[in-house]
Amino acid sequence: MSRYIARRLLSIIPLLIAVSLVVFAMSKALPGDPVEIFLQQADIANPELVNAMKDKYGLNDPLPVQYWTWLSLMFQGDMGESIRRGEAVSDLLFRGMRNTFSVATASVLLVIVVGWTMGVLSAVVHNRSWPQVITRFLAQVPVLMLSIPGFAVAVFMVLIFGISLGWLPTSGVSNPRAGADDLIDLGKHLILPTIGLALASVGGNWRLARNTMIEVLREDYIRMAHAKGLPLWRVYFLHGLRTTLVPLLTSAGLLFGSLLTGSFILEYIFAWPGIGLLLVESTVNRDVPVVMGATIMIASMYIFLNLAVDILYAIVDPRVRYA
Amino acid sequence: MILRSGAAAVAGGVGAAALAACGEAEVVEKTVTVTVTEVKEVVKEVPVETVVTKEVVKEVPVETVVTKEVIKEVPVVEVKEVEVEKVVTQEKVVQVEVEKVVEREKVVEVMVENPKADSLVIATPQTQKVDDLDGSQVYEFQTKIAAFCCSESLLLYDYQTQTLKPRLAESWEVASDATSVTFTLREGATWHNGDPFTAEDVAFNFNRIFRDDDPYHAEGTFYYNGFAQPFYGDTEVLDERTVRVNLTQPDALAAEKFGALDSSYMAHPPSVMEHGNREYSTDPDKYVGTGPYIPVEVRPAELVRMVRNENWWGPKPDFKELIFRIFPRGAAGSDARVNALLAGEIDVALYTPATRRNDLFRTPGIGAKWFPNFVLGYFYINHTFPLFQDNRVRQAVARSFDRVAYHEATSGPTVVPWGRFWFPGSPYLNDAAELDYDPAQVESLMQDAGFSKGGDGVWANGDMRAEFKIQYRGDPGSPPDQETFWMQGLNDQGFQVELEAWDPAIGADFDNGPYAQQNLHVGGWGVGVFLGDPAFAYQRWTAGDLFARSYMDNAEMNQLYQDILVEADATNRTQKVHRMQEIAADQVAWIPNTVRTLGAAWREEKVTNVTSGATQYSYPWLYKVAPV
Repeated sequence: MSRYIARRLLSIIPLLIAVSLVVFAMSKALPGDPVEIFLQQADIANPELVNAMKDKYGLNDPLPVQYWTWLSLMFQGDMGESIRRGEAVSDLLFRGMRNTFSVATASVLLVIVVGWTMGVLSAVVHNRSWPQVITRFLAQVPVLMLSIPGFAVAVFMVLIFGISLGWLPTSGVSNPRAGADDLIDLGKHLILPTIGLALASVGGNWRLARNTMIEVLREDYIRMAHAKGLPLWRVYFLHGLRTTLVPLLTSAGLLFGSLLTGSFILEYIFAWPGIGLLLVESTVNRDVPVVMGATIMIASMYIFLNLAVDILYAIVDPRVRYA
Repeated sequence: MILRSGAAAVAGGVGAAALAACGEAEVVEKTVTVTVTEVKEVVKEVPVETVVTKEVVKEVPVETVVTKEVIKEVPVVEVKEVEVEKVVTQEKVVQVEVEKVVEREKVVEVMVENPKADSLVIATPQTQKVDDLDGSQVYEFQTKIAAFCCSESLLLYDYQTQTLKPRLAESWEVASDATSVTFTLREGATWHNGDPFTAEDVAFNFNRIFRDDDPYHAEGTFYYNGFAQPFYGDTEVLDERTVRVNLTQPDALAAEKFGALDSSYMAHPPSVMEHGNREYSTDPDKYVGTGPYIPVEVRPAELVRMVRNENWWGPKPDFKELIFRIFPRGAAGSDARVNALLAGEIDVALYTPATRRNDLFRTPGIGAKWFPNFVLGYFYINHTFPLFQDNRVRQAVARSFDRVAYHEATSGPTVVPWGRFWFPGSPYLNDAAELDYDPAQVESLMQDAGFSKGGDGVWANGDMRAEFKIQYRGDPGSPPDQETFWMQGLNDQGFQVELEAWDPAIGADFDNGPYAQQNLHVGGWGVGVFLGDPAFAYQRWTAGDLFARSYMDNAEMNQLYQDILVEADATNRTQKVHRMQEIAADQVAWIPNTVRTLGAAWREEKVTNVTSGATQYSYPWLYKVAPV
């Protein structure tokens, strides 16, 4: 196992370099100069300043030199400086990732608590031949969740719970009158974005958990467990659930990655200063250092999450072993 | 009996709820009982009592204080002895009234101390460097709104009167040959840390900002210093409160440039020397300014918090605390700002979008308006394009756009449709120099230019047909309504027009981009006009910088521009500027379109108005927003 992990870790380095090369090439292929865009938007027309800034950010160097400079600094832990904001890329990414991480984590928790729980319960109810109204209802709710776009629900929730009822904040990560570390305040701000972001995933995982559990409960070993006279809770939650968790864990791992990068629309609606907004804004403004840094960070996270999921496989399902 | 019912009345009218909420309930009840007979009188004569009491209940936990006042002034025993039927004497009533007034004043004073009531949350869009505090280093309008609350320049350009006003300098004088400007500094002005503001500080700052070789220039982002740097020689300290800026060439705008331009804001020399320009400008713990507010917290991309500078030289600002809450820029942020305002999460929203104006106007308790801004929106026109070499054709094109109809139908009050070359209400404006919509004149101008309409309804003159392209900023396939509207108007009047999308990201490429001479026909763009002085604006079209590529070179205009740079006499200057506008209208140097506006909306329960005040670019005068 440890050799497997070491090998996987080593393979990450060339993968990340390849990703950075592709992103760098694509960024440079886009029309528009980042410094000119930046100064134009600030209504500053000064060719000397344009040139000085290009020198400062190395934009007058040949492209291979630019890339090599970036790469060598990157290996020293320096992601460079944002052309647009004049701030260290690492600071910008940390701030954006912190905000996105909080809403993505809350979303995954919601998926686990609601999606998985309801999925497993639906399967149990289905297996116990409860009235059809209930089983069908529990089967259709996740379809409904999958059908309604999360951003549409988010806008609706802002109108109802934010503006009309005033129960929940409509945007941002904190109440400006609250302290910076007020967790209750952060929790309140998380509710609507989390629901908007996680809604479809809750529905998807609900269905996945239900279908998987139903299949598992039809397996021979479950029948054997029943025949042995084991209590129902033991059959369902020790024998059935354990097998069901394998695909769910894979789903959760990938879900977390996709929520981290796919939260842009929700960040947009809720004015949530996360990595999605930062990445899109930086791409539009050709702020290459930020785009490169963000891409590398997101790619790394995907790779590490995949690795973590693979390791979890082996823990949850002892049949899975790596040479 | 009468006493008892009277007590009930007072309980309702004078704020029993507040008194009951206080820890000394027994004392309160005695007091209430006492004041009955008199207060009936008082209520009639002093209608403010009820309001006063409500304020006490809701806002101020000062019941104890109020109770003590009442107990002191109206001895229980004495009043009990008064016979109700006989009522009290008029003198006694008056006496009570006086006490009540005193009470109200106390309440108001305590309200000011209430942190919740006395803080104002202002929403602004995220900018490139939202956390900059040093006014000389910020370069976006939104950031300046916050930075200009803590940072100050020597003078202030008053948008409304279009004149310079004293700020850190009490007076100023431009030399008759316009080669120097002398500032006399305000007596008693201090930095936030208590250090006196001196002439040495001014010299330090001007060298820091305008001299590339100054040791404290490094790291700074003085992007706007280009307007004054070519003129800057040195700064002489004449005495502790007097400095003279010597110029390298005459400049009639020396006071504006060195006194009030964005780049001329003052930074605290010891702090800059200790921390460097960037740290100084971005860390509230290291920043020391002179302005009416002191920054105390910066959460990047989230908020900037400032508290009132109690030692500021000017009138006491209305709010004890200003919080600038940062929203994303663009449509996402502006929509979220309006939502946050409607939900009561913020008190003032700036840069409110035109698309939400109906939401704002229709919501009770929300005030909204759009301030005319010092930015003219206009269309660029390529004077070298063969069709446009005849200025009559250019005039015809300019007079084909019914901007009033368009903007009234689409933007409402959020922009000012404008077909002139200077700002409404300005003494510099030449009202006769206009390019307003006039279809009849279009017809006549085109005929004068030798064009006649062919069978397809398009003007033609020999081989030349009235065909051209209008470039627009926007997504391909969804052109902005303005260009579409104008294109249809042009089609109706005999022009064959195509819309051509362009990527704003490459707009600044003047060699190969859409605004390159070979590519441009007509395109929409805006222009910032600094300090409201025409020289700043015309410089952009005539003085050899980026905007010299406006494809027009008029000798008289260029000479006039050179003249107004050194023309110190206000009357002569205005006449020359008026003449420049005549040339601009005749030659159709540009096609004016709108005066841009800055939208603001506010909760009326918190402030009565957000005024466009005496700040550059007509920023709302946030630290003078009147509380309710």
